[in-house]
Amino acid sequence: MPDKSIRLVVPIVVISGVALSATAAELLYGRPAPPPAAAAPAQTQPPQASRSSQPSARPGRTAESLGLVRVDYRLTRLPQHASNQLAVWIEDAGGRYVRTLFATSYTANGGYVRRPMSLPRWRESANWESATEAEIQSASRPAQESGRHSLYWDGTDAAGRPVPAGTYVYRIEGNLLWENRVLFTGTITLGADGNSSRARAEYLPESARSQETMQETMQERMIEDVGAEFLPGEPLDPALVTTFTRGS
Amino acid sequence: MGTEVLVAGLAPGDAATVLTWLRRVERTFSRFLPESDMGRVNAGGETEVSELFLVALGEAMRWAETTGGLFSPWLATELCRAGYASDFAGLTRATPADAGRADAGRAGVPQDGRVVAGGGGVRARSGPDAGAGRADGPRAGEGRVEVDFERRTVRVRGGVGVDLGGFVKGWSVQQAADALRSRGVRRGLIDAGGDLVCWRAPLDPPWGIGVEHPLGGVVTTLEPPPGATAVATSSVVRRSWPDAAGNRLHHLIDPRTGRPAGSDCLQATVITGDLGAAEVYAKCLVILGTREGPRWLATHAPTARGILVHRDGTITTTPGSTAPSGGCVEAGR
Repeated sequence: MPDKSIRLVVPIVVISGVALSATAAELLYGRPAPPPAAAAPAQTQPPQASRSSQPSARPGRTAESLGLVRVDYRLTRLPQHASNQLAVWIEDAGGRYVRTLFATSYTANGGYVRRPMSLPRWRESANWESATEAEIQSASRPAQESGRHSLYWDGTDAAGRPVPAGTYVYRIEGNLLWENRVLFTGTITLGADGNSSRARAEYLPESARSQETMQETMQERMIEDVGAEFLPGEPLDPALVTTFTRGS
Repeated sequence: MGTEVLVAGLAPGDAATVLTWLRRVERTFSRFLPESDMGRVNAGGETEVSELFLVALGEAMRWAETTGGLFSPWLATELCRAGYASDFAGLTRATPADAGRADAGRAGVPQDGRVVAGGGGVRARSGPDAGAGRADGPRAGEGRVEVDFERRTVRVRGGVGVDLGGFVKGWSVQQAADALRSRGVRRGLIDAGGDLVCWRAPLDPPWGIGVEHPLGGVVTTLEPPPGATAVATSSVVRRSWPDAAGNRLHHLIDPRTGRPAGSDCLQATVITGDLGAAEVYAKCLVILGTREGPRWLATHAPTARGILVHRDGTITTTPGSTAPSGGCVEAGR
């Protein structure tokens, strides 16, 4: 290509249909006007009575000044029925339910009535049969595509109350095939310093391990590479430069 | 997005919402994830995409039209040819062989430097018959993109690739900021790799935004006024790499040549009211250079303010308007 030649790289574009338009709120929160789509939506209403046994915030630092927890995992959707149901939730160090970050909509919205083996560990911990409509809307999401995923926990419980600093348990439960499940469990500490952890897997029932092993040989391990990181919040000093624009 | 994100001044729940949204954007638009909408579209064939992808692509196409093609979302192939074919974190040295391999992964990429005919901007048709029977094309060898908003499909052919790069980063950050502000969040800052939106009420302390000098140091520090302000910077220094001959290549492609822009502008910062717009304007300034760029910005976005850094390190500023976006106070801190 001669140096001086001009190659116009704008292609012909053929458009059909009507161009979509979506507001920012729709893209962020879905439509029509559902609750926030994030794993941990802000609560704008006064806290309601919660099913959580989590004690109300004690004096001292609470999550409002603590930061965020990010839960990461890799998901590979399995090409079969009675699989791919998934829930991610938080418990406190005593095993008491705090809140759900994600649950596949089929189970979250009552699919467990027809398929009782769907995510029983999560449903039991969360007492999901008694969940409020707001909780269901907050946690229920369409099944995720294969790939790496991250969910954020803002350090609030199911009623939107900040939790105390301390150690918490994150869990991911997934249905491998019918009643065969994998449950990942890890701990993370909310405090002044950042920290991270990896989760360990157990199979429910133990015989489900063979299911996973079989899938692994087909490179179809449903959930793997599960971990979490606590990102502590930083105090803002208005006297300092907040950030730099620098070219991307 | 291969970038650092800073979220400040927001309640943890709002911060979580923003970060979750940006993760979704990354999964949809990354060129380097084969399973993303972007990856699937660029792999060729008619590809069903998400509504999110179509909305952002539509916005990018609108900007291509507004700028007369100076901003283009169709430069993925040219980026790969320049050597930016993998996540920048893993990019070290581009060689002609690398570029050839990158091209080989894309069906139909012209290897002979054919001149592609067409006008100076995105030519678009709408209507139910738009996909059939164009009187003027396509001709052999032409790039062609078909976007069907009803069926939510995109097809790229003839060596064209889609890259929304920095634009979608800015656009998505703006979406997040708009949504939070519409919900009454009074103050916040969302910074994705140095391109940011910040907002505050009159009595809130101001945000301090430093403008890095690409050759070291700080150009200036801005204190945006109350309300919302978007700041974007494009640079040929940060994401650059050497080719086999030792020349520096970078990621800002000039759509008029299909090659990394070769103007005398090292870096351009634009301060305006919308981050998607700021991204586009900053890119156009770098492409046009320090003489033509300010004139172009004054014509296309008279309220926007520009700060350009020349190759020799000197600085040119364009005044912009006094309100609301261009009226940043230089803090002198």
